[in-house]
Amino acid sequence: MIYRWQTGAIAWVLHRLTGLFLTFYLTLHVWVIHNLTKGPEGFNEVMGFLGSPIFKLGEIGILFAILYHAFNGIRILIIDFGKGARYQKQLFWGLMAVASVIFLVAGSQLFMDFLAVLSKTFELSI
Amino acid sequence: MYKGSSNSGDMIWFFQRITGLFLVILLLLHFLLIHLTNVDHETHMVTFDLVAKRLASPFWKTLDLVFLSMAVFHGLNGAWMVIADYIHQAWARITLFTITCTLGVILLALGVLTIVTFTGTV
Repeated sequence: MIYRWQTGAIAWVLHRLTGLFLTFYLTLHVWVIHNLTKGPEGFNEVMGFLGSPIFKLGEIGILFAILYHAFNGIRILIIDFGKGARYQKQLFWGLMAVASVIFLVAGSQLFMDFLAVLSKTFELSI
Repeated sequence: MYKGSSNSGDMIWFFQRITGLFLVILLLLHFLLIHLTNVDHETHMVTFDLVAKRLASPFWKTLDLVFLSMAVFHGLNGAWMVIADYIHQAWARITLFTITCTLGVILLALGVLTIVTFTGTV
């Protein structure tokens, strides 16, 4: 039996995947931030470790997950509480367009940070 | 084999959406404020001092506590929803539900501890 992929179905799967990822990230985040109780040295040490380039790249991934999950979430709210079911496809593409704009603006800033951190890492090892 | 019922779960259904709505606002603000504007310009990191200015105040503490509670609920309820779609035997459901709830309590406790005890000074 082959399932026919459609807009709504893909939207649903991505919502689940980003949701699970964000929940997993939340767990890590609570743990990291809890290092605040260790004072400036403890906290800044952990944040230093998280300042390395690969985590900067990860931040862009988190941004994508947040934006996708939030805007598809808005679509779900409109469908569940309003009359959005009829327009679910248009809602999806419209909201994703808005999300893409935010992703480009904020993501490019994060990418600049990534490049800055990357060049610093290479300067040190030369 | 339990595969869901239409006689219960209405409040949880509603709370998942209400917390979702609030989280859309709070999380977007949180991410944009912390990761983009509250970062040290040279090292591109969040530091203790940058956090200290904010988290010592009662207003931000309260906001962050409310934010954390909603995030933990929404996330773990979401995880349970996914589990419940695939796990149907009673013993497995009970076990995984217990684990999910325990994880929630631990995350909430850890977060509340961090926020409430933060004074901004060593």
